Amino acid sequence: MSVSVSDPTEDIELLSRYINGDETALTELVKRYQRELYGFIYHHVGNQADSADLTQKVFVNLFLKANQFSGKSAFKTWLYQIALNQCKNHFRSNDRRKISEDVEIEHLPLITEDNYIEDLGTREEQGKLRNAVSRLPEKQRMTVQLRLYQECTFPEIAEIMSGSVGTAKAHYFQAIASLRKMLQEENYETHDM
Amino acid sequence: MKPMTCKQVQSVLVDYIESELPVHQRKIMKDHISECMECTQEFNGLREMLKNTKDLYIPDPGDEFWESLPQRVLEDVKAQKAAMQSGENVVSLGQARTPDNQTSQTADTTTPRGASWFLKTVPIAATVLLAISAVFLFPSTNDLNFDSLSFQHRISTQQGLPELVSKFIPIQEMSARYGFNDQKRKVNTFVIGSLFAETLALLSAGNNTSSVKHLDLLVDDLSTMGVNSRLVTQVSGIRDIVKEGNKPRISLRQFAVFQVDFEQYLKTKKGRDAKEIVLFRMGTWTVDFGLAAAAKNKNLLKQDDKLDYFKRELARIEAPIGAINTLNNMSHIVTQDEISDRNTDKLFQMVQKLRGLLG
Repeated sequence: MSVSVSDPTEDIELLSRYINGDETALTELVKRYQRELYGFIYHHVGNQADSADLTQKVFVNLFLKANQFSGKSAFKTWLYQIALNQCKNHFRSNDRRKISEDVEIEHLPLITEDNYIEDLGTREEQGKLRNAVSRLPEKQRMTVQLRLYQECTFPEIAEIMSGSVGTAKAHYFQAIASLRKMLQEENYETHDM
Repeated sequence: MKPMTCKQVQSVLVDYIESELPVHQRKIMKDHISECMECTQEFNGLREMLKNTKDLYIPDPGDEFWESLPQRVLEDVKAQKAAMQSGENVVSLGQARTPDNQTSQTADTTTPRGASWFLKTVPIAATVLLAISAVFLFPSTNDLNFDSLSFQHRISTQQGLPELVSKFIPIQEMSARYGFNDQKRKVNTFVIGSLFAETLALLSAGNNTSSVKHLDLLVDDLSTMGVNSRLVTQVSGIRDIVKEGNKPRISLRQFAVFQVDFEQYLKTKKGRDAKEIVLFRMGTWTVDFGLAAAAKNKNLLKQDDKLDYFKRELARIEAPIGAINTLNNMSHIVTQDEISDRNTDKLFQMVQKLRGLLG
């Protein structure tokens, strides 16, 4: 689920075309961001079905509010602000902040017959890693997700999370240190997955 | 320049990896790491962990999801804008799910009955099967979307979901509802389609009691039909989660994939029959359309394309003429510029008639 590199000015132009009645612009924007948004939400909520639902909801909310876009920030920043709020609401309404204590099966890649032993190891390590991420405090977890999965810069993260660049960095560095500590305690093996 | 201790180096390793250090400090770090075994190990371990975190597996929802998402977003946005403009208090079937452990006021529901005409014609269809073309086996939908979940998501109602669902799925006596007292329930794909779409609506409305009963029936019917065990397990697994009630609520999408999987099963199974696919679609569609009619969502009733499709396909599979006539009458209403309240009620009654004729 790679992050697409989109031209920010093109995004704003597409949004403006949509506001002026061009529905193909909506399609184009959704196509541009659907995979990375789904990936972001998946890392946040931890299951495929809810992630698919929320991805659609985020886009719907965004286009319903299209007229409110000020243009001061990038489209991507605005999109993730909406996504972040939607994810928070999701957890509030579901009363389950953490992804899960036990790793769900769907979190894990399929085991192939050819590399059975190797794949088993990978699944176990991925499980430890995902659980560790899910145990991070909310702001740290969100910062890690935006930085590592969405490849946002610290100024972008600061804007999405309505904070300062310094705070975003502090959250990130603290999160990585905590992750490292948690994984060392669990004898996590760092090998290429 | 002053060298750094291992402790100092390790305290800023993330900054180093993130290129957040000033140039002169980077140089000192680089020199230290290249000469110190312990810091090299720590550096490699951290870098690997970041890479692995970044590469965590994400299950792909599949091409169909990606391809249909822009259209579903567009339709949702339009429906919500239209509802806002008309001042409706929008409660979407997809959005207003209630937790599993919340009991709903919705009454228990009815289940469509078997289609005798269909059962009678199955052997004939089987013998003709060899002669018919692949086009007939896999009826062209001309890009029509039969996705119940996305359609039901677009339905908005002022009366509350449990009331809406119970209006469409009326209360009947248990024996009449399931027919288990004096007659064996007949099973066909129309019934499966109806059960599926009704269950989806019941889950949306948070009616767990009826959802479980529907899911029980679905499991029974799938087993009776000899459907592959994976599909049966898929449905029974969802039923068990709903039944337990204390688990995180079941996601509609988790259940909704059954529609795609079952259609795929019908298309690929041994002795496949185009009739089964048409009837399955018809079963889900009559429920979806009926709900939209009950909710008086007139914009969602303008479905002349789907009506044309079903008229054509039902004629092809030699369905009762009454069903085709009913579809013709429905077409006549939905192609009018504006659908009146009276005609919305008529459409609702016509759907019920179709369910009686086919189910």
